[in-house]
Amino acid sequence: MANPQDTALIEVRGLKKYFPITQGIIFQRKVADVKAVDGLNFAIKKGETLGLVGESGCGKSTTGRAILQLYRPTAGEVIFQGKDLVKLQGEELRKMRRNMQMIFQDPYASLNPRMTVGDIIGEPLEVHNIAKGKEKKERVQELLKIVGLNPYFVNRYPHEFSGGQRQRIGVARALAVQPDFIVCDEPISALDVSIQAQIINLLEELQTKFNLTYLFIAHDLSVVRHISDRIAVMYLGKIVELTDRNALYNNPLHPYTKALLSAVPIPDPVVEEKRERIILVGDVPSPVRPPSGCHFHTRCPLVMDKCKKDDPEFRNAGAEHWVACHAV
Amino acid sequence: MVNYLIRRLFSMTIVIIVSSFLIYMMLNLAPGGPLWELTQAGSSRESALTREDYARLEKMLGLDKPMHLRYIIWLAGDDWLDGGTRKGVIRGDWGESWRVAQGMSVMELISSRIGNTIILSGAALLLSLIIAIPVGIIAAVKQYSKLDYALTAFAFFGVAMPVFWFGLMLILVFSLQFKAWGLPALPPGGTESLFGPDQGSFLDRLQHLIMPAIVLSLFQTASWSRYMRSSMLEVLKQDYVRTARAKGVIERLVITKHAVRNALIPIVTVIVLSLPSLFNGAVITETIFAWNGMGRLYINALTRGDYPVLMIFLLISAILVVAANLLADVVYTFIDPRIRYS
Amino acid sequence: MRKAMLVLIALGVLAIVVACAAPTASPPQVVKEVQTVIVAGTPVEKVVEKVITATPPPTQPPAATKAPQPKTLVVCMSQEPDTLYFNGSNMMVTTLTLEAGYRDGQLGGIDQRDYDYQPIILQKLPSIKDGDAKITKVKVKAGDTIEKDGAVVKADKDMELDQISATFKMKAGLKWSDGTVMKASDSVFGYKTGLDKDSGITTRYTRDRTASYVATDASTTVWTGIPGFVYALYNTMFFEPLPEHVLKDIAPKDIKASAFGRKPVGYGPFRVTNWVSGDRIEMEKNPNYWRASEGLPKLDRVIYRFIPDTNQLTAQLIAGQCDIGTQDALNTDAIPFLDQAEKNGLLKPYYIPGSTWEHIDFNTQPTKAPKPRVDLFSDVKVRQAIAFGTNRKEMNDKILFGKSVIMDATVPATHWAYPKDDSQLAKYPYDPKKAEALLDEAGWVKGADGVRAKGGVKLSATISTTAGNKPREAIMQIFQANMKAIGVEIKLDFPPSTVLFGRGKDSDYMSGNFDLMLYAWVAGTEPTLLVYTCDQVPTAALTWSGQNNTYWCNADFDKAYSGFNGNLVREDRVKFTADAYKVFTKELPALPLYQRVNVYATNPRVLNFKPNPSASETWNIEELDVKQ
Repeated sequence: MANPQDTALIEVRGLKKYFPITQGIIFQRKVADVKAVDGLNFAIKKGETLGLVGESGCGKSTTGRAILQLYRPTAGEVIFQGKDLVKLQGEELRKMRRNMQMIFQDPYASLNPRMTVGDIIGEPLEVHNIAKGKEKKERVQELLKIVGLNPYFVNRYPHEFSGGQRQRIGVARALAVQPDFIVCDEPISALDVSIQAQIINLLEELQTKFNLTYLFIAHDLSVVRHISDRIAVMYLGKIVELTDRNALYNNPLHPYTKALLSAVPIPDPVVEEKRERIILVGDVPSPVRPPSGCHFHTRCPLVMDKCKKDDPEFRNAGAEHWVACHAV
Repeated sequence: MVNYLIRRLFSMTIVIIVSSFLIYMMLNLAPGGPLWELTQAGSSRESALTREDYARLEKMLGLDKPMHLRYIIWLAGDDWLDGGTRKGVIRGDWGESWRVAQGMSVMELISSRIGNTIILSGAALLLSLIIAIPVGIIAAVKQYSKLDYALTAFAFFGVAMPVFWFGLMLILVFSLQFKAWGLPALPPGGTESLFGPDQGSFLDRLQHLIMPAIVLSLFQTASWSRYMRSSMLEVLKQDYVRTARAKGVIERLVITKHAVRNALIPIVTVIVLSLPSLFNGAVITETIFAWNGMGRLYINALTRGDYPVLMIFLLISAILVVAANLLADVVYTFIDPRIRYS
Repeated sequence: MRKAMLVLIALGVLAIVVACAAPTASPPQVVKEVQTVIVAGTPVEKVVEKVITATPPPTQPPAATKAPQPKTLVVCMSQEPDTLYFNGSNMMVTTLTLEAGYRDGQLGGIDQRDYDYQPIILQKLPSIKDGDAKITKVKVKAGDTIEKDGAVVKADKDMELDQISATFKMKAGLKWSDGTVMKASDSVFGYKTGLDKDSGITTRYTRDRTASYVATDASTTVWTGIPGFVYALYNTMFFEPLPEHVLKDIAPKDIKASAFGRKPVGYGPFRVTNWVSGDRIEMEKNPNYWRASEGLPKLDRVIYRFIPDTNQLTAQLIAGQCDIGTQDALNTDAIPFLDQAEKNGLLKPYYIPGSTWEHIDFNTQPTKAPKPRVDLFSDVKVRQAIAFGTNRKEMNDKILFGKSVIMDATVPATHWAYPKDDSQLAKYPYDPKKAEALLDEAGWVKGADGVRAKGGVKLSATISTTAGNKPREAIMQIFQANMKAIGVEIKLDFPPSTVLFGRGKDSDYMSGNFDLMLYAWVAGTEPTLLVYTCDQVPTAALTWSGQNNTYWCNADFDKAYSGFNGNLVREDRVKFTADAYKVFTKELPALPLYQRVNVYATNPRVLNFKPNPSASETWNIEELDVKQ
């Protein structure tokens, strides 16, 4: 990947999303920011799946939403199909949504309880003038078939389905407009373990079939490893390591990545026996006042004086293995 | 659903019978009573009520019988019991007024007021809906904006404003001051003009309706707008609203089709449960604006111990409250597909 | 959302526009215009009322050619009559309404103005002096019905008693509103209807004491009382007529529920055309009114409206939707506002000291009552001291804005029973020095705490009145301050009315369980004297129903009263009242305070409004008129 722009479907530069904290009863003034996403740089190639992992509250979901402009970023650029989404407004942005969709974490809350499955899946077709009337209905039934649901379910309401079926509805809805890029925001973490594999398989199947590009957000490293081509590791609003999935799992460079990987159980009793767990001390610091220098220095086993002062540069440590650590 | 309705109607009937019994007993056990007014009248020899007079009047009104028998007679009549002439409430004999309009049937008395009350309460209800729902939506969509603060201030004003004072101020400004300034003024009260070329015309009645409807709707508007705002805020946080945005649905439709439709579900209960006011009327508003409605009839019957009128009023109110609850539950099944009764 | 906002603003603007600019929002402007019209071939100039609406539709003919609106007067009362069958109601508003819609004269053919009776549909009130009423001695056998000591009883032995009879002659030309001639037999019918126990009449005092009431010809009735019933009001024993031709087939108990209960056929200046239950009674000129030839009534229509809220009623008066606000709807609180409105030419208030008067009763024999109390007021000097120390003018000024009159006796000075020469009466102008001197004289000496005491007993009294009466609360506060200034401690007590005025010996009123009590009497044509006689002191013999709660008993007063009561010639009776008041004011079992003020208000366009303390405000409704 010598020149990412050549093949990148989407490129994120310096993406920041701060949420203001206000105080006061009548006149509210801003007293601080929650720095949920604090300067991200990465690109996703066409047809690729980029996994995004990190602990809860590190800014993964915010990143996904900020890319799709569901949260308007505080700063940065999101170049998608040659356009900077951050600068797009209103109708232009709305039209772009045809090409980028999202699958949400909670299959219960993300479907409007007062709309039928047919309306939920068919609505994007209508708003983007793709299909109407009978054509729309046929298309919806086809989509249901694609995601493995009975096409006669169109007139049912979401509450009549199980969690896995609902997530299939969510997938069908995302697929309806034939997007190029889908943000999968922890699509399986709310599901039973038995269902998780079905959805993962469905997503992979669809990726091949429709040449989709995924940003796959998860906190479960093993699932991410299974589905992703490359993986980015986030800690407190920043990416600390980004590389090919095998490189990451075989040769993690950042001490945080190492700690995360050490927590993953290995399905081999012998190896598992020897697995050395790196236990991180302390809690994740507040994103309102992140630590100076390297955000990870408060919990890093390799902490040096330098880490407390300087924010390490996100650099290529060779073979497109990007890492932000003074110790590497 | 049919089974559910049958079950509910059965339990409703029991609730109504029990409440009618309790209402009857409480009214009749309370101190005072229909003859109290007469006992107060006599300070001179000429007008004092003798013990025989009192007993005769009691007999005439049927108050000489024991309480439980009186209740049964009131409910089911006495034609089968001791050859009386009363048919009882359940057979449509609502009795005659004792004090408010002596000799007039309660049915006639109530029908003379119910129209005015439906007009006033209905107008206020409509006004509240028309204002409260958009206000709630706007306040929620623009949460923490200056507009939201202004609407919140309005809501606090509406909830805190005493009805009688607000009514009085409106009369003072729009009826008296406007007239003094030579501006077209609103009539201070009543349901229609008593003379003049427009007497009883639609426009004339409408003018009489404006101020009481505004006063009556103020509290409702204010509180409903707060319900709507919080319900809307709740819904706007939901994932499916974000889903709708992610789909590329235009913002107006995201609010109206996705958010408002869901936010209205809890509001419908509040609205349906306020429907009995169409019968009950509003005592204070009707009094300040000399509006000839049910609320005034009720308070008049109450202060003068007119039990037949009071009993029917309270009974119908009880039935309406129970019925409104059932209606709210039934309406729910139509607006919220998640709810099914069996 | 901007659209929703716009809709909201549009609605608001609409509301304001409707409120302010609705073409008919204003009452029609009445413009006076001199117009020449042809009346019986002669051109005359005439003031015509033109009604101009704010936006006259262009298709309508000019307003000037319209027939003038009927002359309408709107009387606004606080309550609605419960029925217009006069025997069935004891509401004041019923009496008011009946005076237009049924009868002529407050008492049914007879009026009561200036504390005296006037014949209205009668040629004259009978009098013993004129010979059309007489007292005869009759022989009574044992078992005959007689009156003895105020009660109707069977005579226990043969005796000779006085019996009164009076002859009433009706005026000529009296008609019912349906055109039928009114006869003396209608009055007898009215009497007989009331005899029915189920007729709804709550008091049969006079009927129980009537031996016979008959019509001797088409326009004459004769009343005869039972032996022993010597009744000063014999001259009012004309029973109110009921239209026999309308009611003869209706059982008395069914009259209220019949059409007559709400649209009576009467003989008053107006007749009911429409009763909108809860809102108003509409009446039109009665073409068969017996004074129609005099051009009466002057109005074409009268509407009685029911407006329970005083503010609303005042607003309606100012807005011209009400013409008269009656006394039940207005009270003394509104005096400053009404005065201000009068200054601005918006309405005309009237303040008439009425027949109800407040007084403070002393418990003059506190140790003899069933519930004995500490003796504070048996000494007449103490009672006089309290009277001198009470600033009644301050009460009138502060509570009634100076609109009332201080009373010296139990009737107002304008009453016929008040002595023409009142120099014999003891009077008590506010004089705290004299009060203190009297108390010193009586042996009540000021202690260190400023409260007087005598023999270890403090001059500390409780004054009782019913709860929830604001003017009385104000009286008590002024009284308390006045008394403190002369060294008398006053405690305030507000028992419920059932405890204070209840029946039987347990009530405070009957049992003497009070030091001072504040309440009111109503002055009628007969002066309030009976209630201070020895006979009225509550005792077991009277089954605790006597009305002399002061327990005051004075032989001179009783002598004057029995002289007054046994005499039916007014000129002689006044002499006895002078004697009675001489004793009363000196002994002072009760301190009269002031007359309550009746408040009325009219729109300035109302003419001939002449309220009277003992008559209703619309006693002359047939003569009322409105300015054109």
